Amino acid sequence: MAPTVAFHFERDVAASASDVAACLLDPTLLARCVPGASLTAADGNSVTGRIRIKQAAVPSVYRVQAELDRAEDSPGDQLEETVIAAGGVAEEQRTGRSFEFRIRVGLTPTGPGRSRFRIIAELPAGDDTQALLDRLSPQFIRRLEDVALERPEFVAAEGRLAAAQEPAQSAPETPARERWVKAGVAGAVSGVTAAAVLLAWSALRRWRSRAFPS
Amino acid sequence: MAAVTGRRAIGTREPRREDRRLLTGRGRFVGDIRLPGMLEAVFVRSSLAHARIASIEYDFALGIDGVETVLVAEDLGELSLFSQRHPNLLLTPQHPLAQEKVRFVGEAVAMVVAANRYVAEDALEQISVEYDELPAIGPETEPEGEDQVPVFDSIPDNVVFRDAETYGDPDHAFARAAHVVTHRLDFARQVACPMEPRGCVADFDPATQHLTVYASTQAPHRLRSDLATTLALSEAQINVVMVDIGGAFGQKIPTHLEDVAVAKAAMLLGRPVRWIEDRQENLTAAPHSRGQSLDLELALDEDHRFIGLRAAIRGDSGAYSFNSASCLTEAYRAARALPGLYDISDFAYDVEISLTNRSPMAPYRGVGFVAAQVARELLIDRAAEQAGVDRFELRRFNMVPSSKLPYRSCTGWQYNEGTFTEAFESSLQALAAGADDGPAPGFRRGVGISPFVEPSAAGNEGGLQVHGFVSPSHDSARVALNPSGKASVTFGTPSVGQGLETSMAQVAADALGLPIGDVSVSWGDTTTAPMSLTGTRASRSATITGGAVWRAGVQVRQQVIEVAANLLEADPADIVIDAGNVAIAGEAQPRMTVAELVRAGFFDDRLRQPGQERTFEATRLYDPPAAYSNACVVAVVDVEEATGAVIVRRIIGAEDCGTMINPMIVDGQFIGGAAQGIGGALFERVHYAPHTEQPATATLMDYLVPTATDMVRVELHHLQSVVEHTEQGIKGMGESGAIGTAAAVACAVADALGAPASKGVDQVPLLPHVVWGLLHESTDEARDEAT
Repeated sequence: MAPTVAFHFERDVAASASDVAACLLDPTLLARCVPGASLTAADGNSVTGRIRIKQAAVPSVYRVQAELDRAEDSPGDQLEETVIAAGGVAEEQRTGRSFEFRIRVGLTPTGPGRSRFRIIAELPAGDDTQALLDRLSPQFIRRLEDVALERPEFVAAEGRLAAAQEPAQSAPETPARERWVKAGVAGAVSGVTAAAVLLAWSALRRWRSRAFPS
Repeated sequence: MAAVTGRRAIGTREPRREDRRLLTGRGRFVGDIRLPGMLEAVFVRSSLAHARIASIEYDFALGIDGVETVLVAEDLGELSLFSQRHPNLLLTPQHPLAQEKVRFVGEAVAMVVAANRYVAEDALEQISVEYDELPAIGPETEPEGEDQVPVFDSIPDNVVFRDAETYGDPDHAFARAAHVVTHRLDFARQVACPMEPRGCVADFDPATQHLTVYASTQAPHRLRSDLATTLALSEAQINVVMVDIGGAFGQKIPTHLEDVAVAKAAMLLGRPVRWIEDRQENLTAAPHSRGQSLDLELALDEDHRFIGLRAAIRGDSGAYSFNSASCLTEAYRAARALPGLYDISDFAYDVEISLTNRSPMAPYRGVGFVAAQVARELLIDRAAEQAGVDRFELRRFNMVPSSKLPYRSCTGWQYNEGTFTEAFESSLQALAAGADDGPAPGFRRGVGISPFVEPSAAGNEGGLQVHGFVSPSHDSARVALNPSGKASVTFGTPSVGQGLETSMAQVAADALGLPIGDVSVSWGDTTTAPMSLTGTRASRSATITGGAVWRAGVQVRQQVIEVAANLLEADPADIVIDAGNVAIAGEAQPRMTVAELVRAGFFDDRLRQPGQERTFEATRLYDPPAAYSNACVVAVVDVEEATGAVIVRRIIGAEDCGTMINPMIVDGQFIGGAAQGIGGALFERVHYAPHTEQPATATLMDYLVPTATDMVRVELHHLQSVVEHTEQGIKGMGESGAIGTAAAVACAVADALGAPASKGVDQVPLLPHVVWGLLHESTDEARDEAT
């Protein structure tokens, strides 16, 4: 493992801390905000994805496994600071080299619909890592603002019922993790129902083929 | 050398052998190329005409499945293409992807390379370019205006080229003139608009360090050289493969920056990359043409002889002078073409070409000559009107007469032979012979005439005469007989749809004495084809490639004769090879076939004489002296008074290109050119919005090309001068229809409008609203005068 160095980035965000936190804890929405990222799988807090980062003409592709977690929390918009932690392993696809990373994000409300975003990222030391973060971070923040403000539409576009049913004008009150749990339960219920129907249909066919041989 | 027997293939209307595949969907165009692992490239293009690039954010595009990379200028390094063709031309380096600044709408800023076109196009949507917009510069923009930022900081007044020449003493001529006539013409920007837009596939093998490029190009060897220069490869590492080309018309002569970017991307990624331009790109980002204004002044003496001509030409270069210095090809060539086939010895021109925030320029069929022809012929019509003489008689009187041939024009064009007067009279006779039913009620009829010469053997000497500076240009061809007695002909001049495959087979068949069916033709690739220095352009292929094929064919025939003389124990001078047979002069029956003889030549060593190298193969180069074809076009049009719409009723052409290799192909070339001439005169105009320089003609709904309903049956008459100084007396004529027709149509519209409205014919194309405006303006003027 390469030695890591902490990189800092701080920026005002034109979205409330709770909206931003909801985005960051929602793997699908988070993947939309990270330049070059695409989501492969999400299971609760565990996320698997791919991130393509261009530091030369040909980009490097990293397979990423990470855990997202809300480390500290205060309820609703009254929170002093929300801290979200993420950590995991990234493996460069071509070379197979991997490194661990840890990221902590602090969100502080600074006014109605505004917050302060701070990030401390422990990444492998490299000459161009800071330049890379300088390039990617503003893009990340802008997209985060867009996604956070238009989160219901984004979520609806994904076809997730729980989010689609939320009022379009206000940010959802439910923490992203909770919504994911609800969505997971709903999905599981749907899956069990579908499996039961399939089994019943299959049994009916077997019974018919035995009762009425052609 | 044994005498070549009579022509059997040259001069016949041999059906085009390429048509079977082209008309049945079996052509192999660059868009048909599929290579394993091939990626697709699309370009992010500037949405602003003039701006500094503040930032390019492309990282989100990288996250899309299937996107391999997004390339920006810094990824490609220094890949500037520029060739200094004229000492007065200032440098305007252009990079495949814009560095720091964009200079026209459509300029490539970034390139997405992805698994397929769909993904690549989706990725474009994820790329964000921030600009600091600068005031856009158009042809009418005051260069010293406040807040103006020049297109290039190094050229503060935006003038990229200036040249002035004086031949004879035009000032003296104007001082003694009985009549001085002036005319100004604004010739709009137009675009070649080939049916198949630009495109290429680049495939780099990292193991062998070899680059293969499949390109829709008119100049494969030149593309190879340009790629070698820009990519720091040797030409031996590059093979440009020629495929079928769906029209080119000059736009595909230069090496396009996109080709360089695609090749570089293939090298970086180690996978084949394809780029196929779409129509909108072709109309906005591909090079344009024409785009110039010509102020002409003609001096006539008391006898109405042309005694002096002055021209001030202002050209629009677009944002770059481009890599082939192609901004010169329009205004500068127009200047030198202005005297044409008229006997004018005192002439002066000054040319100024300025940078604007528009797409750069490239040649388009009849480059330079079309605008010069339209301006000059309108000027002559005005002179006839002003002097009160017949416009046909005025032309006839001032044309270089056959008795003065050979003749050297004041700008140095050498006319060794020609049928200037004969073509003129022939077209007028055809006009008179046609039924004149007169215009329908509500229409006005007009007739225009346009006699001209066309440089048609753009070799070294021809290039020097036309351009006034050294422009090397020659072709080579290889002819080889196989043991089966069949011939393979290979050259480096691509067939772009003009029937070169057939016409070169005809030339080779006669040179070898074979039936045309025994000749196969390939323009191959740059590894196998002999060098064609500048490719297919400038009406040169028939003359120069044809000459090279002929010479190589005759050399191979001589090898056959030597073997035949050994085998038949005859004098080589008595050997006759004709229609695939070998005979001895005076005998009724041939002794054997060429196939039998060649087989014996290859496999029977007893036939070889000491010192003989029996390869049955020859490669020859041809660089002919300058040659000029001539023609005359007459147009009959009806102008609808209510709408200003112009309907072309007749196009009559009388042309002389010396020996016609295939009269059917000559007809096709002329007719195709005439269609483009009609389009140029009446419809085609690349329009930019004032101040912003945003292109407004980005689709074929907006940029009007002529359709079948706009065409008439072209009445074509052929004259054939005996040409002594080119191989087989062949001269080119590929641009003839385009050069002559636009002027004839414009003059016909002016004639239909009649005085005083005809004076207002000062722009091309003559769109209906322009013609309607002239009609009603003149009606108003007449009414004012009456009252």
